[in-house]
Amino acid sequence: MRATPTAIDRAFRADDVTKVYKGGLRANDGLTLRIEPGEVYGLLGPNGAGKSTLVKQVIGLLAPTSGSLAIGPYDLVAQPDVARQLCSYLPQAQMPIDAFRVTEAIEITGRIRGGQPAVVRRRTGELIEALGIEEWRAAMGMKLSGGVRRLVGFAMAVVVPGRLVILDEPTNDVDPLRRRLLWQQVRALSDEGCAVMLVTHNVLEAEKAVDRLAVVMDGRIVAEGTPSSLKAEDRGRLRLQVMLVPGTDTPASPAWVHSAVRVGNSLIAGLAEDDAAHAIAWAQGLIDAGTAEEYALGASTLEDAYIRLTGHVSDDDEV
Amino acid sequence: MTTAALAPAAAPPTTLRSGSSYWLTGYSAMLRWHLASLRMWLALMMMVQILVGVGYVLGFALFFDEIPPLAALWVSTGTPVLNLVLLGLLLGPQLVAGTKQQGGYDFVQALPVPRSAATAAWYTVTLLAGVPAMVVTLVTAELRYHPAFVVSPMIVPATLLVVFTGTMMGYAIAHAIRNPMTTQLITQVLVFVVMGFAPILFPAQQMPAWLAEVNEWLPLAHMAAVIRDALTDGLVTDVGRSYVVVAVWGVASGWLAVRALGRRL
Amino acid sequence: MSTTTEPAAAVAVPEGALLRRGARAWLHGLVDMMRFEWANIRPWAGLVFVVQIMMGVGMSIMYGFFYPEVDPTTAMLIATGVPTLALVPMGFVLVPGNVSNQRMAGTFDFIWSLPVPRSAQVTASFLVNAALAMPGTVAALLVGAWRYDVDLHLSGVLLPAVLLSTVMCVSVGYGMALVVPNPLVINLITNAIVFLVLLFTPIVYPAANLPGWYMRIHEGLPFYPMAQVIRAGLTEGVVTDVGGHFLVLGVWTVLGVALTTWVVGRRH
Repeated sequence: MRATPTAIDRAFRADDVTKVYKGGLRANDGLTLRIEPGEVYGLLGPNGAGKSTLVKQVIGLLAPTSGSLAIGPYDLVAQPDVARQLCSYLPQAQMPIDAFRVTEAIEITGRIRGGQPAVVRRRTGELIEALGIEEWRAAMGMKLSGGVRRLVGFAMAVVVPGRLVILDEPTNDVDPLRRRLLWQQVRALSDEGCAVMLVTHNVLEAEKAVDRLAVVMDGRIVAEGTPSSLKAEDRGRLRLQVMLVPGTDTPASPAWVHSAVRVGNSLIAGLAEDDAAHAIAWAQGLIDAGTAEEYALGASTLEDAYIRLTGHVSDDDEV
Repeated sequence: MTTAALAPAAAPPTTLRSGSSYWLTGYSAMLRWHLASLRMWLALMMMVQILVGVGYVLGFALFFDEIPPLAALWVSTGTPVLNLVLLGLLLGPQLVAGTKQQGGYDFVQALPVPRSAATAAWYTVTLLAGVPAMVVTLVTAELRYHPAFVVSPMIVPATLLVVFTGTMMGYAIAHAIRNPMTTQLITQVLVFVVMGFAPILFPAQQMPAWLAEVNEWLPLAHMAAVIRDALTDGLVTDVGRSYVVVAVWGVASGWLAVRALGRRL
Repeated sequence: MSTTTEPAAAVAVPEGALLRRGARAWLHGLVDMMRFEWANIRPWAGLVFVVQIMMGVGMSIMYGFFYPEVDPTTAMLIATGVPTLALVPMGFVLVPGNVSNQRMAGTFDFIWSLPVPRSAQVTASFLVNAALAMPGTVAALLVGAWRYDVDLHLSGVLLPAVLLSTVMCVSVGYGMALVVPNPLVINLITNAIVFLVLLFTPIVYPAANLPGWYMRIHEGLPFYPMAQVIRAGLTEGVVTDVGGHFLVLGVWTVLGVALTTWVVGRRH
């Protein structure tokens, strides 16, 4: 993250943003956060936490019930047309590019965002190459797989990036190799001074890609900080994952287990480093008894902090 | 694969765009966007236009043993209205409903284009979709019936106005109605109304008086009147009032549409 | 993997998960699927109902406007032709529309993964759609007869005529919608068909108005025969060669059902 003299002027700020829908649903409740230019900021949370709702208010598709949203001196709520200029947006849903060729979709969007034709064309070519989708550069949208479509959508959002680039689940359906390429581009954007707001429910990716993140639950921010600061509470903790035999009941956790969550047939337990030997012995015992198939012991990840904070598991297969 | 070295173009904008060049860029880019979007079924659209235009002109005669000249003239001057409003009023809302269902709607709404430029671009597209079809319809009518056409220069403002109002009404339906299923049902009903419950293809005298009266306040009959007036001589009375009604409906729908687009719930 | 030597205990098979076959199973499947279709449609059913009735009644009334004057023959033709006009949009617009919507919502993937025979699934869909269309058709007929002051003579032919026509329309519409994946394309095609049929088919006007060669075509397409058999069920002595018309209608019905069966079968 570059600190520039004008960094404070250009930051994105959400102040006490509350969104209450008709019927009383509080989708956002007093959200306050700040993203500096050049920072990649993650919004992490389970489905329905209110992340996409916040995003839509930033981009001017929804208006907050109360609170303010600003980038630099510009009030985004009062001037939604300015919001659209300052922000570029990759929505969670599929992009409407069935009839567009890949290069065309990216170029037209670049033009709409005010880029000069020659520059846009060059950057489109660079992005297509950098994301590893040259093979499809002339293909029609409707022929593309979900993942490639997503990458094209990403390119459309960043060909002429806004001061704030909003990415809502950018790596959905994208294969692991190209995900890495996408994250490289995100880092490149932040190096150029764009602020990036990343909405995701994928904890492991978030951990590697963001500078700071907020965990959102039921419309509120329940924790905020860098990935390591969020894991601080888990420092000195280990994570034991026991793969249970399908159909067996969850074994009772011994006293030295701090927390245990069952996800499908995996039992994920937190424990202190000092109890590592106990953990191994216990897990081995479960295997010998035929209750478990295997186990893995490792450092605790952001996933564990996430579980601790939200009570949910971040994977798509929530139990 | 290397990390692409970002050209300076990747740096975020430092100034806001505004003014006529911003408007024009938005307009021309949205025009390109719509034309590319519709590309795949432009051919199908043309086919439907011809079916509707030529179809009604020729098909109407089948209802009669020998079609009376007045009926022939009426259907020849009424069918062009269908051509002009087909995309804007009848198909447009269906398209938007489709994007709402499939998920592309938010992205387009979040683009930095002034709402008026986006609307103007869409109007241009509906004009392009309607005018050629209208010409084909009129030529067909001429060949089949040799009706008493007397074409005046008023055909230009009449066409521009009819397409404007049809498009604005469709726009309002598309954006003001949240639920895509409702939109689809409404457009189906509209197709029906346009075909048989507005005196477009036949004179109002053939309808029950109360229905003719209702149509005095709705725009469809008047759309037919302004087009008919520009194509004939002495057939239409009080065309001034018709122009006013069509214009008012256009402006009111446009206002409703812009409000709906700007509405952020 | 477990290294125990005990044979893995079979995971208990849920009750009733054994393969079911036979007529009872098929009927069960049919009823279950009908419940499912009905549940899917229920939020819209009211609106669709109303629209169907409006369209049916609307068509009855509308055709009268096309003429400066409606004479008794025309009146009879309109009144007895309108049920056909109500059924055609049902099969060729409503059903394909439904099918497209379901396809877009992903409903079909779900339906076709259920352990219910395909034929039962499709039949259920047909029945629910046809049921939704009936009120509109009946309303059209009644309003037409009333408005144009036409005396109807119901005959035994009416029921088979309506049944066969409904199956034909729904099966062809369904098959068409499954074959064409793009919902917008299907929309255009179906609207075009309806335009054409409602205008160019001698349903509400006499066949004599058409040039001879064109009339031949209509004797082969299903719409004119359909109109005639229904008309035969509503009048006396007006329609000739009812048998021939039933034959053509029957052939189209078989084609429609075959198309649907083939498309539904080939996907999986």
